[in-house]
Amino acid sequence: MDQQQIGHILKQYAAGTLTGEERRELEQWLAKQPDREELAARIAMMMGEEDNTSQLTDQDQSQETFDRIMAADKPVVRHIKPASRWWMAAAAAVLVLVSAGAYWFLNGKKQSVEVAQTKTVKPDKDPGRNTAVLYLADSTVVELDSTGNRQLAAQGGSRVMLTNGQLAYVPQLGINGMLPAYNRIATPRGGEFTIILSDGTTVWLNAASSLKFPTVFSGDKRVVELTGEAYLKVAEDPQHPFEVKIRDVNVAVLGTQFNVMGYEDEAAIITTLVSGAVRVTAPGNGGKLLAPGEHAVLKNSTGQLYVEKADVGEEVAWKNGSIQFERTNIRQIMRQVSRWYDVDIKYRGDVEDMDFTCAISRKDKLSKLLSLLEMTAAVHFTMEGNTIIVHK
Amino acid sequence: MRISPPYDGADTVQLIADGDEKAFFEFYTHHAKPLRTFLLKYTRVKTDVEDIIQETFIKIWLHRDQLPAIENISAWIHRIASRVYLDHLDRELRNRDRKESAGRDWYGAGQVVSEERTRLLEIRRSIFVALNGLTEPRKKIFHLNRELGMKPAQIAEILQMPVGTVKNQLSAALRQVRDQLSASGYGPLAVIFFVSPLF
Repeated sequence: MDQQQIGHILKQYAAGTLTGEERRELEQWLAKQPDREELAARIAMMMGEEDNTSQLTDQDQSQETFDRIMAADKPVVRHIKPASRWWMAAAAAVLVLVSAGAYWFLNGKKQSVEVAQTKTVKPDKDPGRNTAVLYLADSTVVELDSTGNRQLAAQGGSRVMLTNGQLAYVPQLGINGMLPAYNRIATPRGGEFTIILSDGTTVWLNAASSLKFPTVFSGDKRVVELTGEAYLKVAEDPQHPFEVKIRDVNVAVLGTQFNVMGYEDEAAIITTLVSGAVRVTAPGNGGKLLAPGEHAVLKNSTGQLYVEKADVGEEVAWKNGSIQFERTNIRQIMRQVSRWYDVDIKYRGDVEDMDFTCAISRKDKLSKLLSLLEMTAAVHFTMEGNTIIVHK
Repeated sequence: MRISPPYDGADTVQLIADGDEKAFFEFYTHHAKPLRTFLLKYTRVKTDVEDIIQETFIKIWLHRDQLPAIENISAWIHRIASRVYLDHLDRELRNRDRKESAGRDWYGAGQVVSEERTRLLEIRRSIFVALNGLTEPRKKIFHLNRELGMKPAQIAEILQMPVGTVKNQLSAALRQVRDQLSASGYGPLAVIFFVSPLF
């Protein structure tokens, strides 16, 4: 393989115009270890020959990438708002000295430091778990959890099965033209549940959410209604478009994976597309088509629907078992904490408007997240009953 | 004798090894340029450029304690970047195979752009697992260095231990993180041993 050949093939790949033969050659190079090594060496040389004086990227983008790199081994990063940077830098310096002093003081000398007179409880709570409530069409209410595999009911053309902590609607054969019955599944704060609808669509329901759906889909469209947040993996059925309705927003789907977040106490309804394609509509706005990696945002305050690039990892982190924030406001973090850990939140004193970046597991106890946030020395937490108090 | 440019000079490199973010930022800004130029030409999806740069420099940052021992830093960086790029290329080709055989292309959108982001999330989680597993004294030193931005000399004074010990502990912590990344399938960087002869 020579330099020219490599350059040509990679250019073709980038343009999406690889011939079948070129593609096979590339795959072969990648498949065999010595060839791959050589290819890597040559590419490294090509990189070395590139001009390193040009300014091809915008500074903001470059800064953003750097921040993410720094966040890799810094579990929680406190972001200083640019507007008040000059005095924040001074305050941060003081913060560092004070924290350093405290560390030394508490660890170097054997003196107890009485911070508060009252006995403060270290805030902690177990994370959410698999729990939900199912409302059947005939008004029966069933509590769902991870235990017991069994058939719950036969409803409107489907058998409702609870298996391994998942609810599944299995269509009964030979039953056609029945009027579908509507069921509703609801998760409390501190709950989550997965349900497989009769068409094979899988829905992961986050805490404090609900989904209304027919036991069997009939008609031209498959329609469900959502409150709160869910991640959907919609089964392919080109003949019958799938729709998710959440307050004013309508998400029209084919075979695809996406997340819809529409808690009423958040500022917007956000639809994030992971793969496939969806069209999002809201009254007074044209239909917005999403490409994977984008999200559609309907701002509650303005009623405006717009599309932009999404941080997919962050927006579907919950479904993958993580709690992940990137430059997220403390209040938004605490709202999520409230829903997943089933606690109330109160703010005491002058709690600044600060942003944090962090990534941890959703299965950890609350104390872990709180202690990480406290490590930045920018915020502190105490607990009274079932309420977390946030203060400076 | 070759005079090193400021971002690769012995002082800067030592600062980076001790965890100085500002020094690393200068280093990153300079070295990312030729990478971006290359990647903008040879990647299909432009958003992947930043993701590849991110993964490359995360790996470099996690090897910061070894930087002072590396002879040709540019070459080393390009080796790391070329591997991250090839892995990305490999995944893209496989992805397209899958999509093409499935035969669907509604609205012409068939690509899962988020795979790179998911990968970076996994890398971060792996790092977090390693950091969590550090023993208490090591964790404290790492925390003071990363969260509070303290230099080894300051940490040594606060914790009443020799500077050499602090540096060893920081190095050991990074080793643990790198091992964890390897174990999760996101390392190793064996290339280091080929490119940086210590003599």
